Amino acid sequence: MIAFPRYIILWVLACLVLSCESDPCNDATVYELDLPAGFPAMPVPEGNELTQARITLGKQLFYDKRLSRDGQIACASCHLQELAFTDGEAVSIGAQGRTGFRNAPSLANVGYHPYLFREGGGISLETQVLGPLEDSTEMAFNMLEAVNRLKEFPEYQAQAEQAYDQEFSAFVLTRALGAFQRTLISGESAYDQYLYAGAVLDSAAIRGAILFNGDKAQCSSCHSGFNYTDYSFQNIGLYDEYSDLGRARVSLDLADIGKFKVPSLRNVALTAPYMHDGSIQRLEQIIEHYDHGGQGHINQNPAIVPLGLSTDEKADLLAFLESLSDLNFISKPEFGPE
Amino acid sequence: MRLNHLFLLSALIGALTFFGCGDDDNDEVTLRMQFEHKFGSEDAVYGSVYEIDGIAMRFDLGMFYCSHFTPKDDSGDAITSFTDEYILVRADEPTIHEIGTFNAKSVKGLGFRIGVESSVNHGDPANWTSPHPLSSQSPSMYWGWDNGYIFFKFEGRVDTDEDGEPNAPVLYHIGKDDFFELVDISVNEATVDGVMDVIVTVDYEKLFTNIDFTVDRVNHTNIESLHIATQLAENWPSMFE
Repeated sequence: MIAFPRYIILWVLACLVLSCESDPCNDATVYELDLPAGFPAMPVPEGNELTQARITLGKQLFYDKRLSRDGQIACASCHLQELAFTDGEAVSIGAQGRTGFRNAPSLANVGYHPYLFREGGGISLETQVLGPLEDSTEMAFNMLEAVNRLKEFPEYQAQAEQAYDQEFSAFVLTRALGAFQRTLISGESAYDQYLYAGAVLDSAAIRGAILFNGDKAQCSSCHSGFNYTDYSFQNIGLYDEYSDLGRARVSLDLADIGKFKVPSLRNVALTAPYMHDGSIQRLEQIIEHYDHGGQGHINQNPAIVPLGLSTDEKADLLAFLESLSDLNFISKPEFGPE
Repeated sequence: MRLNHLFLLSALIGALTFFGCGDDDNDEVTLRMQFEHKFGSEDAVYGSVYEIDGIAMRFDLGMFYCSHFTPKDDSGDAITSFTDEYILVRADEPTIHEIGTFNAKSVKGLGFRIGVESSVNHGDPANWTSPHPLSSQSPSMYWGWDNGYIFFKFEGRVDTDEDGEPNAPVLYHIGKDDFFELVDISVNEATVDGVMDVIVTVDYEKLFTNIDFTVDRVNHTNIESLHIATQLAENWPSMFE
């Protein structure tokens, strides 16, 4: 019998133990979201519990232009990380250069949204994938054809097996994209640091926060909670006649014409232009819109009335809104392309 | 006492014989459906041009969901109901759709619905594995938002400039919980070797009853033209025989 030195045996054992440790990219164990202070637990649908393997696959799909018919548009084409996952356009440009009809919404904290799209027609992060993928002005593709295209790539097949224990399919594609998007959490703004970490905040922003939450401006009656939205549908009197019917497209109810989901204000200074159609370029103009009291559409929220804000108050509101930018969120490598 | 037992035994044997004979009269039937697509008396073929009220119409696509199949006896009563069966009918694919097997003396009618019920309509197509009819389809039969499945899809072109050539697109993508329309047809087919092949004729010309298809050419079941979508859905039952 050959006698191995004891240190060699220990070294071999150590190697064996380390090699058994899972590769973080292939980990099938549940992935715990690192939630910022003040954030509630995120609802995750049964059957799509977060794992690193699912998130990794979802991120790859998010940046894959082969998901569009002409191979030119990825999810990330209209949801750029440096713009808090918006695209800086009034309305997005889709496959074959076609112009869409909506402003791309931010994906920050999208996992908390009870419904997706500006009219709320997407009922989950998983099912909403069909919307942009098949819209003729966005990716202009077909789910079946997209799956058939991507399943030809062995790396996607292997990742699908690893993440969902099945071959690449519409189920895998939609679930993985949902998993990745649930990790897009933003809660480290200057205002968060002020609230939860004792950081110093500009006094104008503090005054703006008081105004924002107070009776005079009443912004927080809709832009409430940790995500600065109550997810309700509101007609804010942007127009006296709407070409985009908003919530009424889904509800088929005339009383919903011109109503759109209240957007989160996190990173709002990074996500210009604004409104469902990108018709407002600057935050100052939004403040002016609310101070004016809207165009008086029949469905306009009656709480939207002239506010009588002073120049200083408008500047304070602007400072507060700018303090909601999360610069870590727009630079985290785990959210960006490989 | 013994007489009572004898009476009960006779009654039991009589009852078993009576009900047993009833079962023997029923045959096992496998119901299958085939669809013949027409414009009036002409076969409906993609790319072909037909005349509807003297106006040229080119037929490019016809697809629809059927579900909730209910074979009926000669009294019009339901023999059974297949509520978990869904078929997607494509005008360009002659397919035999197997619906289910049941026991019946005779089948004289068939009821079914166009579309899918609400609980399925708002589900996720990705939960169905291809090639199930409710899985993702090409062309798509599902809206990417909460309206759910497109129950009935018709696409073509119509002559709007009166030169006899279809020039303007006609797109009807109709579906909504309220449009889960019931179709009732009579069945005259015989059962051969336990299989009943029901041939259903679909006449697309009848889709346009009370529709000005040169004006109301595009409908995605939107609120602006919901009355047109409603009329189209109301026309479905008359298309089938």
